[in-house]
Amino acid sequence: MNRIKSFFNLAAMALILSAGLFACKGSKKAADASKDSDQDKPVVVIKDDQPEITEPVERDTNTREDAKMRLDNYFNSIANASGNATAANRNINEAKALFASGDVPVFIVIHQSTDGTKDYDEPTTIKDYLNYLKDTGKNLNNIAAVKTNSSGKITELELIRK
Amino acid sequence: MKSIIIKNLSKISFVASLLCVAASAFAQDNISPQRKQAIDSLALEKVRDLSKYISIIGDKETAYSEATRVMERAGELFAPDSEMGVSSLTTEEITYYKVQEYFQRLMALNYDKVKIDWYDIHYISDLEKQPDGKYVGVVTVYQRFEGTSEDGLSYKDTTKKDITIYVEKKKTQIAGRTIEFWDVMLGDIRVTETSA
Repeated sequence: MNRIKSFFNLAAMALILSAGLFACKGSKKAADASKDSDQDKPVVVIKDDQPEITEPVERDTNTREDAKMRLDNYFNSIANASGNATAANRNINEAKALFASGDVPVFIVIHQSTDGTKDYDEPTTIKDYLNYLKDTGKNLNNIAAVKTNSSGKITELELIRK
Repeated sequence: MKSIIIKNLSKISFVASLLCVAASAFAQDNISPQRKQAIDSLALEKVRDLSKYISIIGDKETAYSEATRVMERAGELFAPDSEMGVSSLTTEEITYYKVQEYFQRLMALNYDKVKIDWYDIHYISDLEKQPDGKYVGVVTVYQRFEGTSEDGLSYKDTTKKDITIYVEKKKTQIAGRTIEFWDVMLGDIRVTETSA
């Protein structure tokens, strides 16, 4: 009798524990997803005595948005150069100037699930990606996110399939 | 009493661990149709990339330095030791070359003008998960080749080729960040038909 009671206790505790574990996993995923979605958003700390703290963040956001727009134009121009290697190479060199180096990593999201899980293509570098645009003549990705350094140069780029 | 509680707790941890492992394995295998479609498209895009690279390498107007750079990029698309089949209307024999040798021969073709187009690129065997966890599929392409000499002589043919595709989930670390990605590798390219 005691054995049966102990078995029921054990089963009940296992169920409670596994439910807890799943809940933890779910909340971790949610936290990860919110971390992903919040990645681009500047953290603005608003205090009554320090209202000017929002200014650098705003400037930073503007720099990133400006870089994204300029970069998107370069990507389109390079892909649409249609065999004009000189024009494509000129645009590649100009685009490269927006980056901290030619080895800046480029991550390409090929699919994003509703829970925020991202599937990636093999990561590449900006130097190779710009040549890829020239060689294939296709710009299949939108700019999802850029990271910049203190000089405003891009240090990381994330693209997403259109 | 204390020892019974400890014993029970260790049993619970064991059961919970098993549940966790099982749940995680299920989650990994559970690829939604949308995700699968994105992976299918990614692999097909790599074949389209190869068609562009082959066209650039074969084009006599491509500068040597550019052709060399593109050859390297094209080689990166393939699994090690992959081979490319080459056929001709003049012989029934199909010769297989390692891909880098194939690219070198393509660049050195004895024509003044070379035009290569791939079209009707599609799966003939969908990507299917293998017991080792890799996905394997087969894509068919049609290649139109036109080589013209200055004296006006030309050679044209159309070949149907089957490309084995391998897709595998891999991990890499970049800038202190671990990233999981789908690695697409092209395997052997076999000639299945040659016509004028």
